[in-house]
Amino acid sequence: MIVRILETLLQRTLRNVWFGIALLVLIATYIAIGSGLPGVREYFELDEVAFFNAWPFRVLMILLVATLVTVTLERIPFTPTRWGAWIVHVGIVSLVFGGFWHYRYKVEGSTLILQNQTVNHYFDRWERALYVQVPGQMARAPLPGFPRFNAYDAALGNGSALNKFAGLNPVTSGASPQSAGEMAGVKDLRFAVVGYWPYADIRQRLVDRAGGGVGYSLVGPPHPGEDPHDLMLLAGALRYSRTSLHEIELEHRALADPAELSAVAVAASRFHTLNVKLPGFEQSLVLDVGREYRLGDTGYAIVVESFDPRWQTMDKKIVPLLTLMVQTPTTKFRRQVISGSDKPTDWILAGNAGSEGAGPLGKRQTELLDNALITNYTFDDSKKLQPREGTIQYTFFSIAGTMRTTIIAAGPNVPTAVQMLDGSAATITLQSPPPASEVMMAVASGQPLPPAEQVAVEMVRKESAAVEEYVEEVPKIQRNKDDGQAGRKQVVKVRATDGAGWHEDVFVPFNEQILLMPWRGGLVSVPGVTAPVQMQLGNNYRLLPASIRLDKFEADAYGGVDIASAPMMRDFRSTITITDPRSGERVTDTVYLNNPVFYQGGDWIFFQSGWDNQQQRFTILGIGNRPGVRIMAMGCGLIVLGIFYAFYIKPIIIKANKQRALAKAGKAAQA
Amino acid sequence: MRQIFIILATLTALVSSARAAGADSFSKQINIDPIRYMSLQDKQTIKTFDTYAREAMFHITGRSTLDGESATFTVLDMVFNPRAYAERNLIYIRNKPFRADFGSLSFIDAAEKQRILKEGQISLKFWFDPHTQQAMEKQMASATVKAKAIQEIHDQALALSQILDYPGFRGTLVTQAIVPPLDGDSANARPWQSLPDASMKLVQNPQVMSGAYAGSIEKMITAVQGLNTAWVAKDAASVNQQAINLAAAAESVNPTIYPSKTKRKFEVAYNALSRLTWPGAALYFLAFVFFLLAWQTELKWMYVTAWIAVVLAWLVHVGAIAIRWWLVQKNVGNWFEAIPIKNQFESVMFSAWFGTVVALVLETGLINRVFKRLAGWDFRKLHGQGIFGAAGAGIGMLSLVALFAVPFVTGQDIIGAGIRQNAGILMTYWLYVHVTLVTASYALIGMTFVIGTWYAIQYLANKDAAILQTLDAANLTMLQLAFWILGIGIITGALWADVSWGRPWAWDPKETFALITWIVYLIIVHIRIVTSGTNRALITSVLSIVGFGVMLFNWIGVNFFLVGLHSYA
Repeated sequence: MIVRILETLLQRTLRNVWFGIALLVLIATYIAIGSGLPGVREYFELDEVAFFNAWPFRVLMILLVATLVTVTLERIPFTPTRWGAWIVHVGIVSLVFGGFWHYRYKVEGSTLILQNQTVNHYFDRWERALYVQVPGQMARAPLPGFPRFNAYDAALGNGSALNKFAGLNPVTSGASPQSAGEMAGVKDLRFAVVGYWPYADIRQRLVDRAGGGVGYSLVGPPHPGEDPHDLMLLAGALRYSRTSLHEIELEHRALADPAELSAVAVAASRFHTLNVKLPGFEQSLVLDVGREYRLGDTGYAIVVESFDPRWQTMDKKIVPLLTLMVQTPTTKFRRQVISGSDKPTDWILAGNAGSEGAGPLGKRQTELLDNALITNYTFDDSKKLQPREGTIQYTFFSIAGTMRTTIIAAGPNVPTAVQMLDGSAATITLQSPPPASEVMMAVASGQPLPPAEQVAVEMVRKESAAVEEYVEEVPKIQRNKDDGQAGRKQVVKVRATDGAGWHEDVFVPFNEQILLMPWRGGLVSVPGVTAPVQMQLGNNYRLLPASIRLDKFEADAYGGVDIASAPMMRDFRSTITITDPRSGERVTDTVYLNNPVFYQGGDWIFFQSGWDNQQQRFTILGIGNRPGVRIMAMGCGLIVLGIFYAFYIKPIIIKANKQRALAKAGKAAQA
Repeated sequence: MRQIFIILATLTALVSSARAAGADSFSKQINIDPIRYMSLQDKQTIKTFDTYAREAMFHITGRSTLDGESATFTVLDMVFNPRAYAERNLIYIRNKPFRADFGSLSFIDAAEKQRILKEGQISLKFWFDPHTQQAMEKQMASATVKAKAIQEIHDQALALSQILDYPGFRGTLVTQAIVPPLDGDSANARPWQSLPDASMKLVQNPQVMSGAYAGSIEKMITAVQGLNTAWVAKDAASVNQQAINLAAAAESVNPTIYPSKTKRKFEVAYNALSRLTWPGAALYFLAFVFFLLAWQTELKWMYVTAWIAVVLAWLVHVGAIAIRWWLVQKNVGNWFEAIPIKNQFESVMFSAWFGTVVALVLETGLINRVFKRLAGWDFRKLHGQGIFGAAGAGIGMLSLVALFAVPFVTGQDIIGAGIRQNAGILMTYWLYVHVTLVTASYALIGMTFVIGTWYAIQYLANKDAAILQTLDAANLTMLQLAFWILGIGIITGALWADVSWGRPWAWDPKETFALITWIVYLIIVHIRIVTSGTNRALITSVLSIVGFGVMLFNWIGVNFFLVGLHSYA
């Protein structure tokens, strides 16, 4: 029966030109659907390459090859006038087989190389991997066939589609791989992807939960027109004890004892201590930035202009620095004092004698302008309440069992403030510091510091709270094409288990540069492991066939304009040295647009793919292998040659044959 | 009769008085040609002030003129009377559905909302009003489509504010880079500067700048200040003199790299004639009509007239391509990289040109004679009947009309219509090989469409066997050539992609729809094997039309409807 069916197929169908034409129509339709209706292939979780490597297309191509071979062998005689058809058909068959081989074994990706650095890896463009970091080490579990276009989750009723990504055991790269569980000291630590969203944001909300601690929910629009910021503070929680709102740092500390709070309040009021000595005068002053202090009846006065908690000295040391304006009975000058140092620096103010070449602070002096004035400065922030320069830190203190919240606001260039709130809800006003440039201008011109911007925030306190993460899909109309294609907004929900009954679900974001960009979220506390275990979704790591060093990177802009601001570039050039890992042989070559470097006789290609458009610090090279390309190229050449032969050579041969036949007939007639 | 005379006399008097009134106006009294022909650098490209003004005006207002004045006059008037334009509704909102979003603004009245919806224009002051900006920020966060529309309007607003020097209103040519650089071996090798920047550089580095340079800058500053004063005072004589002074001073900064006067004049003329699109289209139309009439009537004088028109059209077409090549050359510095086939405008221009060349060569019968000698083909004496001529003229006309009319119909220029720099990835010989072949095949596909449609009409109209046979043979001639060249074009594209993107075939929509077009012609070839007679020809003509539709979708539709790698094609 099967033999008869095959015979019929062979005899009647495969040798039928109409069948071939029908196949062409089907192939064209398949291509049009795959390319013109991306929603169709995305429904089946197929990107372009996967769609055109899927079984229906393969079946169509195999049938095309079968019919071509059958028709050619059975219906087209191998005579010079038919050579064109033969060549074209052989060309199409070669192209199809080359294509099968190509898409079966093709890998491609990219690697970012910093100037004068060497890499031996690249990241796959299509395949994802789950990366797990136990402090100090990183393990990886590839996710072949991972979905891309549709969301999957138990709540959506389609979570079973992710079953094949359960029991993941990420391992380190290298000769003797170690699993994430071994690294963490939890042998049966395993991971499973239980949810996936192609374009979503991970959000958090503060919820009531028995056994939780005091938590604060803060909602406020810091700038007109923006969405309200929804923040939360939960003391002791891995990622929620600190947060920030533009230039405002927020922290929550839970205290067990009211006495601790008193100690903190005292510390907050005594950041800057200045011991001042003048002939006949000595005083220890506790200073606030922006205030003026008169030194008894000496005729001296000091204005505290600004404070920089992390000022860098000439020998690269980071020290707290206070800038003072000193008014003496006879003159006025600027003095900078460093905490713990007895060597202040004085500056002659611009416009005064000896101030030629003065900068914003004045002209720096190597000797003190007033030796009589001795200033010893001490900065004390033992409670860590001072933030970095240009910000203000609001530290929320809560004491379990009381409904009181104490908020201490401290910043380099603002006076310290203490605010006490009772109850579970309040509107608090936060001060956003003035821009650093405005502060500098004010200091330089001797003007008062610019005022801080007022931001009203609605605070809600929960006595027994926990932070819950959730995923919010971005509506399709708001999605960005480039982000979507790069997968930048992909989110997975990973379930970590330890084999002993414990499990925890955590949302893990996509990280485009696993080795370079900081990891965000994806943190889980595994029982028995002191440090948190962190996870990221990323492009799968692969080894290069050779190591590549970036010797030099150059970018050319049209019109000689500044490269960082040039909208249109002429070229990018990466001079690279490729080292064969086995022979140690080195080759130096230049990759630029349309001029890739071929490696291993053309089996691999390294091409210019991206670059650092600010400072030319790195290049991004596209990486790809080239299986079957030569066969496909040969097939294409045969098709072109065959068509030309069939259209334009065949008639010449037919004419020559006719003339020969006529001549022969003429001779025969004569004979 | 007397009444007619009175009417004519009245009309003549009215026209004369209108002309007289026009002659009194400031714009008619001044001659700003010296400024029109000046060079400047804009978007990393060297262009005349005329080109800059036209592009800026079209970008901002969706039109190339305002109040019936030239773009150059309008831009200068904006520069010297900036306050008058800050509150005018000049910024054209191209995204029509987005205009309705202005209806949600609470601080404008219903009449204004209706006006925006109808006219689609807003003022610079309105756009930069904090209330508007605040509302737009909210809109931007709501949808990507709206974000794009807002970004487009914002770009237009920035372009206008740059001309007006908003909100500074300093009333001089502040932001335009009209000062050529001192160094560099060609006009576009180094950045040009605006007058304030150049004078600042002069103050900062007096020892570096030569006396001649400083003198030229000072003359330019004096001329601009004088021009400003004269313009505001409407002193036409002084404006004319200062315009001459400014142009001469700019040219004297670095005469060795300053674009030649001839080139600048050609550029202005090229702009004035809509890049020579409508003159060419008009002549092609004439040729098309006469070729059809000649074929229908077999009158020799009509055929000769058609030939005269098509040769003239072709010469204009060649001129359009040659002038553009010449103008592009000054920006890229060499002739090879300047070949004008790097964007949609240039490729349509080239494609139509190639199509007409092939059609006219076939029309003359030269190729037929060669083939007859070699292969015994005579194409059933296809040449000399006007079929190929009409097809070529038809495709030339359609292409040039499209290039001319699209901006007026859509309010947006065709990609690459203005001369500007191209993405570095396009600066390769591969582009010439691949794009030339593909667009050449598109022209041939266009002609198979013309002939295929012609066949279908004839088939429905009179079914004259001889005519149908002739048209089918003509269609086959074009079709074979299109099929073969498109095949090579697709393959060369794959070879280019291999070295550029690291893989020969990405299943990108442009690639796949080109392949589908090719498959349509592959189907035609095979259908012709298994069919015969009228059926064969009819199917061929129908599939020629289908193939043209697929090609057209690939060339234009894919850019609008699908996401892919060929964003510039």
